[in-house]
Amino acid sequence: MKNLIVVIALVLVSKFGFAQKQTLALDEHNKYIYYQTAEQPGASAHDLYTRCYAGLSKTYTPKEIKGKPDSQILVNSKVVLYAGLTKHEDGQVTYQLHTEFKDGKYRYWLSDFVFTPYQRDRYNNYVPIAGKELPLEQAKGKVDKSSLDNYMDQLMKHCKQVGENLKQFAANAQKQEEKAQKVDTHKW
Amino acid sequence: MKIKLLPLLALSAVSFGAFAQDKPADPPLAISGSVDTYYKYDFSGHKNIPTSFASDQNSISIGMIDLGLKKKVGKASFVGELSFGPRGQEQSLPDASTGTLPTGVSSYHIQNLYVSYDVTDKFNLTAGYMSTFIGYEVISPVGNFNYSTSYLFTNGPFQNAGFKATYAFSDKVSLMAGIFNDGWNTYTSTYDVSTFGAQLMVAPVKGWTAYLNLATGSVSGTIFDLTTNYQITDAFKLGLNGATFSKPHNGGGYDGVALYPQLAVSSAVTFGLRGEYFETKAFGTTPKMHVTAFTATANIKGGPLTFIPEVRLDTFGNKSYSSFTDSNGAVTKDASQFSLAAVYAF
Repeated sequence: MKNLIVVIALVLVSKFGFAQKQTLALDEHNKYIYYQTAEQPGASAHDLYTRCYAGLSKTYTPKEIKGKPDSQILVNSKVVLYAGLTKHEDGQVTYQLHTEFKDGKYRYWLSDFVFTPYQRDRYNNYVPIAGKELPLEQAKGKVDKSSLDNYMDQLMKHCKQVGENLKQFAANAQKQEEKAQKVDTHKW
Repeated sequence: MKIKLLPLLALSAVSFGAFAQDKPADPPLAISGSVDTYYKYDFSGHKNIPTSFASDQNSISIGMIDLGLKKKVGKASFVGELSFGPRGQEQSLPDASTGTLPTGVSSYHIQNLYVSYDVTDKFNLTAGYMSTFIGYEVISPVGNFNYSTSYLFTNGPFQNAGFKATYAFSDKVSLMAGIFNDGWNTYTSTYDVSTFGAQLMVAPVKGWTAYLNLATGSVSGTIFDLTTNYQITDAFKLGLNGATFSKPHNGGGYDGVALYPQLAVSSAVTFGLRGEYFETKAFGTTPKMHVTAFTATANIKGGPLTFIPEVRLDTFGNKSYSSFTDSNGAVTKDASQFSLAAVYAF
């Protein structure tokens, strides 16, 4: 019984832990930034660059990625943001992902966030409103609070996912192909 | 042993080992739409101005409930949009039994129903029943700044059913070409699929988008249309719509131009004007006639809800062909109205 309570407590703590809101930091220029460093012992800068470039090439288009071999990768991309309940596109944030490599470690940051609201067009598609781009730092007061909170949550999740992806690429982790289990019906 | 293992199992269950995402996931099923309601008062005491929607005089009336579904999986997507209410039925959709607009008693309630396929990231194919690509104003109140509609909108197409291909040369230039049913605003063709349509989109500078549109066919006639919007500053936007339409067999037509300056005075309040000149073409013994319309509108936003107070003054060029009457029933060149609408978008 005691152990069961410990288990339930652990699960609840982990859920609340994930639910704590992490917000973007501000850099030296008071611009939003998501900055992380990570270690990958035993891997050279060349290995890390090659692995990360190969992995990022599956996530981003060739137009979005620029690499400087063995030292840095720059990605210009965007994340589409969705309205809460109805799940239609509500806006987008373009960003830059910088990744730099040294022997045994790498660092990355997402920055230059620019928000563009979407509007519904005549075909019931949601499209960016031309000329309404807004640096994310200026969104407070111009975008209503509940929508902005929703967007920031989604953006943080995206930043964390980018980080998780880079971690997997750097570790050269391969997705294990799921094979069907073999069952011998004669032995039982 | 088993009991001691439980915490370990729980811990391992909590730490979710996620593999890297190869590519972004498909977007979820999207639901969108709106509801709108309004009050209108024509100062003559009866209806005068022939706007497409907001037609009831001195009545708190409804527009429509509009519901749209959209889903994309890989390169394929669909859109289905239904509408219910006067704006979403007889005022904007053809009668399913007769194929005529605007009056009707039988409605499919379908505003958009089409499928789409991205052959490449630049080249798209779409087929089905779609809102027209022609013109500045649209049926949905969410897509218009003004609540009443222009003469250009009322007299132009509302829907074109057909098949179209769109190629995006860049972010700044794209071209659409397609074949559509011979008649505008019908779920089925009268004879064949013989209207040719094309649209050139250019975005010469940031914030400025222009569409040059053409639809031509032996049943519905030929329309050339320019629709453009320029977000000149953060606060000020200027829109323009110009069109010329010729009915088949020299059966008349119209020319028109409308200007839409808008000024956002805060994040919640925007003021706008619409100035329109609309002229019907002469044909047979019928001379050309023109009307001007000035509309002053505000959009006051509270989250997803927008209040739209509006004042409008229309003037015929000549009393001899005016359809307006004053409070005594005498023909007059002018008509004016006030309206207040509320639109909730989701």
